[in-house]
Amino acid sequence: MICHYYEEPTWLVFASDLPQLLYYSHIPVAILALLVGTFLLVNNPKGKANRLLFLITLTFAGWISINLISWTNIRSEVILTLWPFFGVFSALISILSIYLVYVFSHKEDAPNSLKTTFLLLLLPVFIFAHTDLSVSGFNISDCDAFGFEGFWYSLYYTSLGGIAMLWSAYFLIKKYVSASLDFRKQILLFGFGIEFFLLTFFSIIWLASYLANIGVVQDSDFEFYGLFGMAVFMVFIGVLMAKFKTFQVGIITAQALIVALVLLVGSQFTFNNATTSNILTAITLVLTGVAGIVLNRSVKKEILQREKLEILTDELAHANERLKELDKLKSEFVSIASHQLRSPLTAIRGYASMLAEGSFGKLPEKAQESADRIAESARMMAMSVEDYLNVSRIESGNMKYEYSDFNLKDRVEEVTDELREVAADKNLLLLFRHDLKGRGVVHADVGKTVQICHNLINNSIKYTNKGSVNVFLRDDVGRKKIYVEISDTGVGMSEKTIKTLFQKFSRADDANKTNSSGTGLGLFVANKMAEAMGGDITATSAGEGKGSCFVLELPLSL
Amino acid sequence: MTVLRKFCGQHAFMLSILFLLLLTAAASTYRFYIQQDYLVKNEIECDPYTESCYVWCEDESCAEPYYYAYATRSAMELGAICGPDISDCDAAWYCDSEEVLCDVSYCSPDFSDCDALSDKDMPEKEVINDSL
Repeated sequence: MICHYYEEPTWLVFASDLPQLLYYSHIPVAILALLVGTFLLVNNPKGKANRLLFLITLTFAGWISINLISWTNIRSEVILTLWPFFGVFSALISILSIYLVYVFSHKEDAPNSLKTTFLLLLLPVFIFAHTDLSVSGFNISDCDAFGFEGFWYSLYYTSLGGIAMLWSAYFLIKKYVSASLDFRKQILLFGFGIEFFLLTFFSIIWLASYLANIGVVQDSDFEFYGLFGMAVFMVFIGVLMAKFKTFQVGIITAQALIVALVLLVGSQFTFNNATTSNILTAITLVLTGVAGIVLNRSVKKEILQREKLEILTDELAHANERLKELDKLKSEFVSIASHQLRSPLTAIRGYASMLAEGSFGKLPEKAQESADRIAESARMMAMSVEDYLNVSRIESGNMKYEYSDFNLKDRVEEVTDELREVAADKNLLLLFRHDLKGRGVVHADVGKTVQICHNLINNSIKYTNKGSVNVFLRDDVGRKKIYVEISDTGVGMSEKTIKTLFQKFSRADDANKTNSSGTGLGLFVANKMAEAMGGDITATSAGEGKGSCFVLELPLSL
Repeated sequence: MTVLRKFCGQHAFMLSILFLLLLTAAASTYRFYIQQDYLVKNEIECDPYTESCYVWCEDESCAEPYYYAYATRSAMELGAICGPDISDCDAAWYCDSEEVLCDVSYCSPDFSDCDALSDKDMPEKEVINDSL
């Protein structure tokens, strides 16, 4: 049967006697939804959420297609053959939406029991789609089947929309409570988008259909507004893709947004009849297209660079982890090797000392000199081995600290006295002064503290050829700190040297001229020990040849 | 075979929906397109002097009102009589006694603005002819 009051459409869907909003609400929205859905699928075809979103957009586009054909076609058998799919597609959109929300929120596929429930909910819609319960006849005068729709059938599939809204909200709220801050934002965006889409789609379209069915309105024109909910949902999906990289898409996001923009500008052709408007729309479309291409290139370049940078950062982090592992292995190796060295070295030192001290009888002059040199070299070597062992212990976290309260002034004074002879050998003046307002008691490891002070004062003596080394002890009771300042008139340091001074194996460029026996580990070990005890070591220098100042800072015991 | 079974197992939900969709499409096409098994509602002639008619006016003055009622009948039967286009088919304008199903629905004043005319509404010319 032909609806003889209406005009035969051209190109299947175009007729002049139809509301202009019909094309604007249908074609751009369907294309936009399909574009976003297809982009998501193409970019990550294995993503479950991507697949489901694509299916929803495909079903939505199917619904729009049959709606458009129903509006424009004038053959009753064509319209009626498609009419049952309003219910089928609506029900599918509801169920797929719940499914999508589950996958999005749980980040896994739905269990089989849930899928079976989905199928059971869908089954009545499929079974009764072609029966009188769905649609039984056709009104040739109005060219539609609203008056012949089954009330309970349409109520059922529309209710599925309501169920979808409630069920989705339940899944999202449940996940929101335990989600991270970042995922909470994603849930809010996604939830608002899909709920808005379901609300507008089902409520407005059902209302339009119901009012047309009971004859309150002649046509269901205002159902057009129900379709814009999908466009809003797609915008939210776009924001999720761009901001949170949800659905794991990259560059395609920018392209999709540009295409959507061009599409929206182009869609003005569907409701503009005036020539001037059409010319202006065409110009805007061309300008938007050109700007879009330029923007796309720029964004593409930026995103590719960012992605490359992310890959490099990942690789760097991986390499860093590997380096740490290697460093640990090296420390273990050094530890084992050092332990192996220490035992024979102790024997060499012992016997060399005994020889030098004449325990085996008086030695000839040349032999005495050799014995002295063996003893001294063995002592230096033992110190180096001790440094290596300390580094190994620090890096493996095996350095043990025995904390106790002790008077720092006494200990520093002892170390100064001990080293005064070494300084005197180099004609240096080693002075000790203090300006303590409190008792000067610290809570730290005595042995390690003495070792640090010894190392710092000894270093100053080594790198000072003339003048003096001053050791000054002061405290700051307010800040609960005590400071040991060791300043000298020695070789000084450049800023570059200071920056790397506390790193392993770090020595000044010309350090060998002054002191050839250093390993470059002493300051590293001292600093690590000070840090472990809640303190710090800082170094300053006015420049090369202008002396240095090292400050050991330790917390006061109160 | 194993691959096919695995595929079906993994996509059982989607395959079921696809199967149901195809089944629905086939059933709908068969009933509505091939069999033409549905009711059709079209306008038929209505006498406003004896029946409560729907009325349609071309403009506000309603100089030439168009009176009609609706008939709901089998599309298959109507199609057999008139073919797909009923606009030039006289049989479409009334219910034939041979039609098994042809329900006429008149305008109900409870829901619509209907026109039911009386003898007073008769055109004056006809009264003059009658007296002659």
